[in-house]
Amino acid sequence: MIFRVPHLPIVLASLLANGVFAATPVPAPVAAMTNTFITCSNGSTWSPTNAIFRGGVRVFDAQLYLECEHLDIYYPSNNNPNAAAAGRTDAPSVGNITAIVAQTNLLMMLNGATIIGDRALYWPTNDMIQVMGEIVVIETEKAYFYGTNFTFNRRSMQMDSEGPSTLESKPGVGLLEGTNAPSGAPKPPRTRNPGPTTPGKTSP
Amino acid sequence: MILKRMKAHRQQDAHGWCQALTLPAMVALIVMAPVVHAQLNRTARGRNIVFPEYYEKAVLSRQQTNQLKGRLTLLEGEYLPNGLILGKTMQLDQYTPDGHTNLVARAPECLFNPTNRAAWSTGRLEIVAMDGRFIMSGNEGFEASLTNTTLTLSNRVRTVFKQSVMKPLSPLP
Repeated sequence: MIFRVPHLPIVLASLLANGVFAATPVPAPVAAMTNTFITCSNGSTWSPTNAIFRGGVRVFDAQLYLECEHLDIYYPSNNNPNAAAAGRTDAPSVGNITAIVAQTNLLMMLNGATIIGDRALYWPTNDMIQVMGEIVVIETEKAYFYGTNFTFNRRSMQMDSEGPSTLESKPGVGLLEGTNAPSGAPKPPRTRNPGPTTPGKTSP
Repeated sequence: MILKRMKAHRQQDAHGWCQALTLPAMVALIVMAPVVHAQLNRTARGRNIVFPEYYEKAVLSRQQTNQLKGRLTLLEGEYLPNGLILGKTMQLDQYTPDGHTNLVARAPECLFNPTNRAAWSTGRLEIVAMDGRFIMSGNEGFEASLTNTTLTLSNRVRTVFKQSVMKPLSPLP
């Protein structure tokens, strides 16, 4: 017995239109992660002015990974009764963070830098990060910084150090190389032993 | 005769003891009556029990009176003999002085002490604050104080900020 399909193209077209043979759906473009996840193991306290996280704190953010033992996040309380009563619009809006303080066994990984210290403060209002400790180690792509008190301005990408500090370049990296080096800066001496040369062709 | 006198003396003694015992007993009954009555009341059950908390006058401006600071709602509550309330489906709302909701905390069950206005549990608590941008949850117990407006979650806590804690890096102008 043979079944005849009189208008096969029309049937196929209608099936396609109904989505039976629909093509593989194109995945939606992945949006940049804007959420921040904070986990801790020894509990947390919320109050109208700040949130405290205790014990094994980990912060996962698109621009930051942070580990510490104690984390405080301060935000405007919006509890200023005078501003609220007067209907002022310049009162700080709920949701803006005013300061972040991370303490004890601090490990911070930012874009291009890994920081180890005892205490870090971040002020979103002026985009400044301050890291303090008995010894603060900052590892960048080219060098290690050792010190006790570093202040980093994220807006101007400028870092200041207070107190004793040491800069150590990574092996094989010239700190004065690159586009930011002044024109008259001395170049690092060339090594006496050049790198391995390509061997000459051998005749078969 | 002597026997009759002894019997009468014994009866008088018994009367005296009875009188001596009756007076304190009556006083005790009068004193304890409200307590007994209250304890009977505390075994009651209820639904939609609301405990409001108001701002102190010092915090408020002159025009405002009785501004609501927080409100704890128990969908079902049972007064326990020890003065606590065992509540199910707890919701705690906190308000700013201008009337905006600052925080909403939910728990499936909790104990509430009306004397010091504190709620606690060994179970789950979920906090939503900052217009939904701050979500905090813990599964291993919490304590909430209405008076101090603090919420403490025990042990493992997971928090989501629906925003980056750091400002995005923008190119210099």
